[in-house]
Amino acid sequence: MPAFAGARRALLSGGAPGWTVPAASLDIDFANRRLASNGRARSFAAFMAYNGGLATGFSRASVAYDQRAADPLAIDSYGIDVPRLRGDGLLIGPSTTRLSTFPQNPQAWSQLSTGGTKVDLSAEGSWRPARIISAGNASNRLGFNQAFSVTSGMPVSMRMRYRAGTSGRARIVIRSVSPVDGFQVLSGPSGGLVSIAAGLGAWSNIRNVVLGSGLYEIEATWTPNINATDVTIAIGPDSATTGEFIDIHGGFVSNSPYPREWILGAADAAQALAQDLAKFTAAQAGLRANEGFAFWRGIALGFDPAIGGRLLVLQQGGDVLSRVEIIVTTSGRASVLIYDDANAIRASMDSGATIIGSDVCVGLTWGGGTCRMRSGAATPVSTAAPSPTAVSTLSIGSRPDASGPAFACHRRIVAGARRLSDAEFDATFARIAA
Amino acid sequence: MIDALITAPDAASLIALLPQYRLPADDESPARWGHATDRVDFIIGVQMIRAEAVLDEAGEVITPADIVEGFTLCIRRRDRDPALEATGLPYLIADSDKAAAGEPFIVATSYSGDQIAGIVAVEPTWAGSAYPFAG
Repeated sequence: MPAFAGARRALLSGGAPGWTVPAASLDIDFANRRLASNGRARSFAAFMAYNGGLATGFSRASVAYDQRAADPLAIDSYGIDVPRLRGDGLLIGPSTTRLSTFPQNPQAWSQLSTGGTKVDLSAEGSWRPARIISAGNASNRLGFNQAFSVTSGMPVSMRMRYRAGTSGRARIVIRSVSPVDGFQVLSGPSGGLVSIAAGLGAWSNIRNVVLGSGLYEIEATWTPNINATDVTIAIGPDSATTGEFIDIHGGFVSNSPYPREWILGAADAAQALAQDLAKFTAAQAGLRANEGFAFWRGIALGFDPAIGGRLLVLQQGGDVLSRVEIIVTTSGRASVLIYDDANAIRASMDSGATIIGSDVCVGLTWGGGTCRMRSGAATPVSTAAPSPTAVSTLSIGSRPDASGPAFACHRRIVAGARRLSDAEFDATFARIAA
Repeated sequence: MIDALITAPDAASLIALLPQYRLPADDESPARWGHATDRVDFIIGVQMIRAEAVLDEAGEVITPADIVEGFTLCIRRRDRDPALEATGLPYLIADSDKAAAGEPFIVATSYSGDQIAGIVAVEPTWAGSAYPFAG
């Protein structure tokens, strides 16, 4: 028999693509839109398509949006049940509501307070920017049209987009008069806004983003310490020099505990973004409970400090509580956990450092009463641990019932139905993380 | 998508009537709206607006908005659930695909025609879906 015959048969039968992990029963490479099942390439699109009867695949009950990486002015729209696949993976997030109106049209914002002049600028794509010119004090502001109601301890998050203008400095002011007369202020040079006042609560998640084309974004979360119905949120030049300006391109406020991606939709009304959910049966994933392995690689983008968030969950559901979870903890670290049927954690490993915004790999393998885990850059550990008593579902970004969601970009998920040796585990982890 | 808007005197009343749309408390989260098996989404605290607020030039409210009283929940499903029309509470079932196609979108309701005609907007709506209430 010619030496090449075996290789030819493998090719004709759709042999294992070179990028897969050999032992994997499921290997989803979201970043490159490819999938392998039991060593064979499969249709990525067919696997991801929502199956209403089984409630498997990817689903989302509303349109959703994402910033296009190559064009700061482009926000892409994705239809119902269409996954937001981008260059670095699959974007999955919890539901949230945009509370403010006209996110791309500051020309329609009307709350110009304490002086300053507003000039409407030429449209740039779907953006309708407005210039705010200082009238000689540092409180020249253009605000959202509505007054917001807030509850103490319930955070809201914002995203504002602007150009530096001649001022080169921006100021964002949250203002409430009753029952507490106070301010919450971010200020600083373009691309470097920081908290300079926190009289109405706490700032968190402050992140300055340079978009290119002279555009900047500021993301921030405000957790109020007041109950109020008169809250205004506005932006303008941080300049007391008459004539200095910045250009406001857009912005919005959401009820999320961390800054979210753009939410467009109807501009003149609050808009609800439905949760993304991707889940598959154990049969689809080739999983079994008594032994196996799972690796997750991606970028966690935000977490609820009250509950954290789930990145990958293998469980039965219902009354069977034993499960494997890869999560963002309430302090923003990555953790891998094995629960028993009493909902008690029987084995866990923590990354030891926050992973928000970082590309990390987390994985574990279990079986025979032991497991080996590694989370991020931490050294892998082997420990005694029970196997789950049952696994029927692999869910991405939340539990199968959509609870405990995380906001993350999922790059790759690899799972299989046997316990890897320590050497296999370490090598596979290194391969996926590379 | 099928949106069921159900209005109760308060959230507790609706919770008592829709146990199948509740997930129990666990070690991390309190009991919450959700469904154990079906793909169901919720907007909590929807406003069914009969008249928008009137503001002056400074943004101060002259006349507050006229909003249907009570607690309104929007339950979005892929199919119609008869149980949501049998709670004894006011309900409005709308089809977002029909609304997008410019067709009559209210597929069932306990409201009278005059009451429906009096609604000018529902807010929030799902991103990408709009219901053109005539007012």
